[in-house]
Amino acid sequence: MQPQSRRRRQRRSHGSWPVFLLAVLAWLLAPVAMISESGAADIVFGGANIVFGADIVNELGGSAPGSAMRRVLMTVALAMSALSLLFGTWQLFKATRLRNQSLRLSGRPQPTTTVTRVGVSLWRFADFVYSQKTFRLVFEPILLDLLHEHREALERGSRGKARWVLIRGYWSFWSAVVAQVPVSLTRLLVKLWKVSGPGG
Amino acid sequence: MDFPRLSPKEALILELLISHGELYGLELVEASGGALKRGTVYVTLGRMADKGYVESRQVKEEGEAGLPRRVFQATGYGVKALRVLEIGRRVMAGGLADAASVS
Repeated sequence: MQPQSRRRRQRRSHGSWPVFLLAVLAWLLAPVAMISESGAADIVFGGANIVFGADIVNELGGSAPGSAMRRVLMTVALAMSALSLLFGTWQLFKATRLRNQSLRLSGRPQPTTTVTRVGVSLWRFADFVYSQKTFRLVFEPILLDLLHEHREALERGSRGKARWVLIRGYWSFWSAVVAQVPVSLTRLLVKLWKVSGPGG
Repeated sequence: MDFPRLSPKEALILELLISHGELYGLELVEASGGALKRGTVYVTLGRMADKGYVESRQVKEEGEAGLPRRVFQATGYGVKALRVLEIGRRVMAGGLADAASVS
């Protein structure tokens, strides 16, 4: 690949901020659009949003938007929500595209190559956040399963399956992160209790 | 005496490990028929390893590229814990006679 096109590709890969911006704008506009002329909310959209919307209305001069204006705002908010959803889906799709060039070229990569290509950030995150024992027993097997299945799918030439394996693997990883939090917290509290207790 | 405590998922994992022998985490998920999830099976296995119900080792299969994967198997303590649970269940269900014959 040419260096220039690679740079352009890298620039494009850091494009998740528009999703965030669109989502924030939609989040701001939707409650304003839902405030009726009398100031009461037409649709229950979530207490925080409606209060926030009312605050914005007050900031804008104290009068709620008219029905035509509300319709326009609502349409814009819905369009932005739809755009951010589409854009987010596209980002997710791009993130899970096959990136392991060496694997496609040589067929069988070295372990270090595989680890540094697929799931390296997850690997580093789990290694940093959790203890060595937890990492070895919980997160390392998840990531190794992901790499194993991904490699198998690529060796079979099934790119769609490989992509699906990545999505499923990332989902499993984050599920494990969430599920592990109470276990690790309990372990930490017990350790602290033992250290600070009368027997410690 | 410390009475072994097993959650339903831990009991299922032990049953599968006892009936199949050594298994990878993904094989456990497949063998459970959807009762175990990919994301949480290793968290449960990690907790069970802490309690001493299972043990694991890394296995490098022949011709397989990449780092060695971890297989899990039930320990003797795990097997005993499951038996105790089964007996407890039968007692609770009123099958005291069955429990006596098992033990």
